[in-house]
Amino acid sequence: MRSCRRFFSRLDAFFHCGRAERELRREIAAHLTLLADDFERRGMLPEEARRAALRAYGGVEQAKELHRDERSFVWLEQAFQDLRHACRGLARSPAFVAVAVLSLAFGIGVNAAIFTLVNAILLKNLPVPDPHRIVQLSAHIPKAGIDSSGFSFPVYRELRRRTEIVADIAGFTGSAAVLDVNGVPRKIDLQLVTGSYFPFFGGRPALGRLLDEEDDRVEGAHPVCVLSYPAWKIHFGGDPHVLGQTIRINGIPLRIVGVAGSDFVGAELQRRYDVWAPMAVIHDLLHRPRESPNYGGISALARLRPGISLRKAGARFEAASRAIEDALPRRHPQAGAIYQVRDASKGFDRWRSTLHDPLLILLGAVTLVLLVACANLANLALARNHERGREFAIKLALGIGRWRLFRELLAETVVLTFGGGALAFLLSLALTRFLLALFNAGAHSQNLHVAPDASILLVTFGVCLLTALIAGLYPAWQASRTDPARDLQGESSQGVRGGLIRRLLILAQVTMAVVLLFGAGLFVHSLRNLNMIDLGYDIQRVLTVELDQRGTAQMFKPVTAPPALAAVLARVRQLPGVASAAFSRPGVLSGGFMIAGIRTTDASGNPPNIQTSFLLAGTGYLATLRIPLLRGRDFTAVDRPGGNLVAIVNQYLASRIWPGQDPIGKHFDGWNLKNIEVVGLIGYTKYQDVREQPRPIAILAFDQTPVVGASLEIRSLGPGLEQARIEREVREIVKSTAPDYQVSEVATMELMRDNLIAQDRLLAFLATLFGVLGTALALVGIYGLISYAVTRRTREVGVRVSVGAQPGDVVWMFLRESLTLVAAGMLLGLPLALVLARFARGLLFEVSAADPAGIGATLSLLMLGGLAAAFVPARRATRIDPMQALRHE
Amino acid sequence: MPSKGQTKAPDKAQERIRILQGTLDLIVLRTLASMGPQHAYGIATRLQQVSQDLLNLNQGTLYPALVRLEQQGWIAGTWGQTESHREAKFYALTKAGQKALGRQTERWRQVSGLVEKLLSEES
Repeated sequence: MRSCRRFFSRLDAFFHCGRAERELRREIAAHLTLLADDFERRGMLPEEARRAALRAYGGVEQAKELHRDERSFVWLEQAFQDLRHACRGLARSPAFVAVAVLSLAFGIGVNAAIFTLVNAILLKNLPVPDPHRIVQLSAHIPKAGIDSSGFSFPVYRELRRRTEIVADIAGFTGSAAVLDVNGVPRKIDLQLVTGSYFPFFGGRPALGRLLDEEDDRVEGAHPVCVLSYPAWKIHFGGDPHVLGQTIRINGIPLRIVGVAGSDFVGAELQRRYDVWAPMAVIHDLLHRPRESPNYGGISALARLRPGISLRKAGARFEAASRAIEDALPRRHPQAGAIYQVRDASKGFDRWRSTLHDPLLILLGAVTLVLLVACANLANLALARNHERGREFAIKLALGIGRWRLFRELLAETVVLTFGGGALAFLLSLALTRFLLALFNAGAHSQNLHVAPDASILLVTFGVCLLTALIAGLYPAWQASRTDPARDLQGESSQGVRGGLIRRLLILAQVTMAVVLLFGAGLFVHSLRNLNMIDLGYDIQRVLTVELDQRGTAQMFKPVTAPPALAAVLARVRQLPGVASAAFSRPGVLSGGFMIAGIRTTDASGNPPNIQTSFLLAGTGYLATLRIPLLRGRDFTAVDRPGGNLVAIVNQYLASRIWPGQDPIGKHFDGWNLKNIEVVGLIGYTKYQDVREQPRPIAILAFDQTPVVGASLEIRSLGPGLEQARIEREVREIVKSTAPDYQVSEVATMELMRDNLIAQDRLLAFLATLFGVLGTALALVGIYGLISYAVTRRTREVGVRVSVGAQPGDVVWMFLRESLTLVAAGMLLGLPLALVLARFARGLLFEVSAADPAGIGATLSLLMLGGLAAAFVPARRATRIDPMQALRHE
Repeated sequence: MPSKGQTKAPDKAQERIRILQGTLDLIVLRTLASMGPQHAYGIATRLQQVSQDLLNLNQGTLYPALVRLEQQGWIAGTWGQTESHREAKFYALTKAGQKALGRQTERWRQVSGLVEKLLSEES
């Protein structure tokens, strides 16, 4: 108790050092006054009395010191003294500080940023009790050879009946939607959920109530919704009176019954939704009848019954597959499915599987960067301490004590690491945000959400700082062993071994830089290949404008050839700078798709039913995208609603249905339309994704097919500014000509393509960043080493020059040292890089791990860098004046 | 660093008593108990009078003991005025201090009794 009390008052005294000090001074002054008064009373003169008082008091400063020792922690004050001393020492070499702090800041910063992602995506569990009982359900369909984690509602209902395996199950499906706030449309992320969803994840409302089973029982009976906490704040200003208000989503009125708690997460840790509505309103909002077995897309997480292991659950679901099948209507799309489970303790797997490998590779890369940075710190500290050999020798000779010297040098490392750490913290926050922005750029379907986790950041920083401190330990220890006798005579006692260690550090740095650079080369090459894929059309200078129908529920019903759209198109084509324009649906590369089976009506047809990707396209579409027509004709103005239905098919489809025959003039049924005549043939074009394999595509005439909304593709004559102007004008035209429509999204097709390869772009960017960082750090190391060598060998250079060495010889003397190190690093690094590259193979597009171009680029870049880093200090050596150099010592 | 005070402490007269670590605390407590609230100078003067100059005490050396006692909560200091209208910090015994004085006195008696006993047996 008592010692505790003293501890706290000491702590208090420590932090209020100034106050205690003032108090003490005042008290001593008072004491001296009283003493002096006494002496005066005994007959001394005031001045005499003052001196006598001081004598009687004893050493004032000494008393103060005793007082200080008594009232506070000596060691703590000493530590602060060391730190102050270290700061003063460091201030004398700002260049060293800048390089050391910056390399640590980058090294630690990238680690914290990547680890934030790794933690959020790969490590974090759902915030529910017992997350290990949560599983994700999927259907394996052997016939088609696919795994699907989306189910139709009837399948979901059957899965939920398996109460002998699962305690409960939650179904959900997400969609982009339009929220109407006082007539202003806003893009939101909507999630339709079953009544079990909120109880399943232990959701608690911040306001009102959450959705329950009753909301979801009867289709369309409860048009209600729950807002997310952020959406409530952003779109409704946190107004508590939103309860009971009716809002419109996709034109459908829904009553707000509650706001979810700010900490509610739901099924996915990395995805946030703005509004939740019961699955029972899915037909109104998304035009997908809930009870139809033909509409999939409902994901499901289940909580296993206690005592049922993942394996047991898997086996039981597999065994139950037959029974589930029998309970469903015949001929549904997932017929013959085997139901499976897998661990979902970390939530629904939207990105985890795909991001798993990239993240681990990045984690490896940043670890290398950190090691290079630490090597740099150690190296710089060694070089600096070496130069201060004399200073240390004098200090030791004056009796400072090796422990004290070690402590001082360690304090310098502490200051550097914490300085670097503080900068790294800011850097990591910025980098995390930047990476997410890059990942989510423009793509409305992707919405990766990662919040920095304080405890994880702390652990990361702890580990990084510890690594950096260890890196600083050796140089400090080395320096504290300085032999004063030798150093004062101008020799170095840290000599040979210090030099060897520094070379080894540089070698390690170069080796790691080789690995990082080589990796960067692979990803950049892969990205270039992706960018050069022939899409089958020309996306340059093409702008895509997405038009949504607005207004009441009826307006979300498909319509055929609305006159308003025709008027819009006519006006857009008149705009200056527009080469051509056409409607389509869904826009290629937009992520949307229309897939259905088609049947041939000609007797010649074979096989009878082919899953085909449909595209609706208006007149001028082929010209706008510059898709070459191989045979037949394009759509024309005669292809009106009510007329003969026509289609253009691709070669792949034609060769599957009518192998060896001319497809022109053939007929087929599909997309709920009968007897469509093939009038044209095109080659291969990409439909949804740049990586996709050729697939059967049928293009239907836009004007003949019922459709919701439209995509307007516009080819402009000029790029950039021209497109921005066209975009503005198109928005005006839509507003004035087609008030039932609104522009929901505008993007260049190049941007859409970039979004499809966002992950590859991100990887290439990060790999390059880390490669450049690692290399730059290694080069700084080489620069430091050579620069130091030049200083140390001044006398030798002087001798050589005086016996006739040319400047070239002198430069070469130092370049050779750098090149030897770089070459040795390459010999070590390249095999290592080739081995490690195999882990990245799955992420590369048409690049082999042993990419010769990558090897060449890596090696030549590093060689050049090594030469440049050594050349700068080496040139300084040529300016050494032999007379001065020889007189120097 | 803590050794500084000892090595530089003047050792003027052999016959003067060098004070035992911890004993000073007891003496200060005792002085305050008998005299009532007192400033450091007063305590020092009183100590000199009582010990008849046998106690070698630089007046400054009193301060660490005062800090220690104050941090333990045994004495409390407040600023006030002396009779001669000078300002000074007056220290007073707290309740805890009174109890501590009792305990310390008891302990001192035990220790000194023991030492006395040993010494008398030796001789």
